[in-house]
Amino acid sequence: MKPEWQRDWPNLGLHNASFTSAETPDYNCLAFGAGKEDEWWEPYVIPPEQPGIYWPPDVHPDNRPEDWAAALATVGFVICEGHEPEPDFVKVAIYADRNGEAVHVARQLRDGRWKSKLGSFEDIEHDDLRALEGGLYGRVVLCLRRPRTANDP
Amino acid sequence: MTAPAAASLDDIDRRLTVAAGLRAVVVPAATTPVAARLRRSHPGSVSIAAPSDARTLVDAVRRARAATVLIDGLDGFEAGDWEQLDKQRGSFQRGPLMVFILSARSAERLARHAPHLASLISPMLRLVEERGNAPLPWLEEQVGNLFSRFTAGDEEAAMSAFHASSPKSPELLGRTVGRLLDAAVVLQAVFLWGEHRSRDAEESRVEARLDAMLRAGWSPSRLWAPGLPAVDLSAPVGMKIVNDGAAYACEAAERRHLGATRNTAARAAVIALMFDALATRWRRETGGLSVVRQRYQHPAMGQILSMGMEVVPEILRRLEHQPDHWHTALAQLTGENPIASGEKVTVSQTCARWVAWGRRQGLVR
Repeated sequence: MKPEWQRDWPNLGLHNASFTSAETPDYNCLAFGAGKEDEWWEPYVIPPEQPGIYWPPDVHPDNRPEDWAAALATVGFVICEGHEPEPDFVKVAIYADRNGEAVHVARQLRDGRWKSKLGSFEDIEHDDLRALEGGLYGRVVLCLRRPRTANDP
Repeated sequence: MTAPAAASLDDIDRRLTVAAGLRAVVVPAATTPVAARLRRSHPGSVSIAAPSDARTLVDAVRRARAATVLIDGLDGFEAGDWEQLDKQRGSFQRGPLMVFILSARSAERLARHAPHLASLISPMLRLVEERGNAPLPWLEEQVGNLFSRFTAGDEEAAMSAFHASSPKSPELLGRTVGRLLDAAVVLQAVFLWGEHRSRDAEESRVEARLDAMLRAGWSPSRLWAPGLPAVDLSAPVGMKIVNDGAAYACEAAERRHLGATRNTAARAAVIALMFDALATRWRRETGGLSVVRQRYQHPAMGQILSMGMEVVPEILRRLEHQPDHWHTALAQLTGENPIASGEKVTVSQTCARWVAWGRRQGLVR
């Protein structure tokens, strides 16, 4: 993809992924997993409030995988077993680093492939979850699903 | 104390003949021959040579009844003697002309331990005749210390040491700058030389050499300016400073930074280059993170924040073409917030608000 990405995502390349958007800081992977592209979802304690940054009310503001899962639950996701595609469900996968902190969310497409927003960088489509595993994003620790709608890609 | 001005022995003779008050001549080698020469050229003068201690000297000065009093042989004076002379400095303001003939070592001790007395001696005259190429041990040592600190990445300590050095002679400045230029440590030489104005031929040579090097261009791999955190670059960057008539222009990375002085132009360029290197590194190494709070823990962001308000125009300039999470940094640096509490905006819109704020402040075009 980009030479400087090799360190953070050593399994990622043009053979298993492609760009699907321009760079933008307007949303992150967690917001993208929740279906939002005008908010950056990040836990914060008010104050200080940060413009453009959102955290669902009443969800514990932290970066444990269960906190991110609780944030995704506010838009209908529930924890499920496995990441294999199910035609009637949209699935998301939460990655955690070696410290157990949630660091990334990928969203499954209708064809079983995955789509991710990489921090402030681009959206990408990738063949599998392993493509983003490695030093920065660690590995998948939790999967969630919600019923698929006609508008879901 | 005014720094020693260079002169020849004839020049010193001439200057002392027309002078009154308290003077000092700093001699590179033995003081005695110079004292003898000055005694011959000042008929009726009284010479006080090698007094055993401060009290003996003060007594001798009080007894002296002459138009000119020449004092030499003070190398044996310890710190306490100089401190004593400092307290009794009034004794040295009696005759029409009182001349200390000092070795470099004595001059250093005078400056360090008798600062009030030293301040009455203005200017000190540094004898360059007869010195030849013989190095002055104390000067060489100071030059070596400063050079080592500059090249070991401890630039701030080097600058502090220079400003604290005593005596802070132009010779120390010139030699250190010359040595930095020898080693192509150019930016450090620029900021050490600062706005110094050459006072003799030797200093003019240093100035000319510095100027030629800056005009020809150089490629530093380490950026530094006083008060800013030094930044090591992954690849050297080409720089050039030219005098553009009324102003100086520092050209670097396809930008031209103007300044009323060479220093201000260089500093503006250094800030831009530093920020670019740090911001690029920050984005490359944290841009994939989804938690802004973690991104702000990166050391590059800490360095950017430590640059203070000077870096704000550079942040705004970058925001224009690459929106990113700079709100926290800008709010911290400026104390401002262009977004009303509770207002729903995206990060890109926040960036645009900051740029508009910067335009109103005249920080970006």
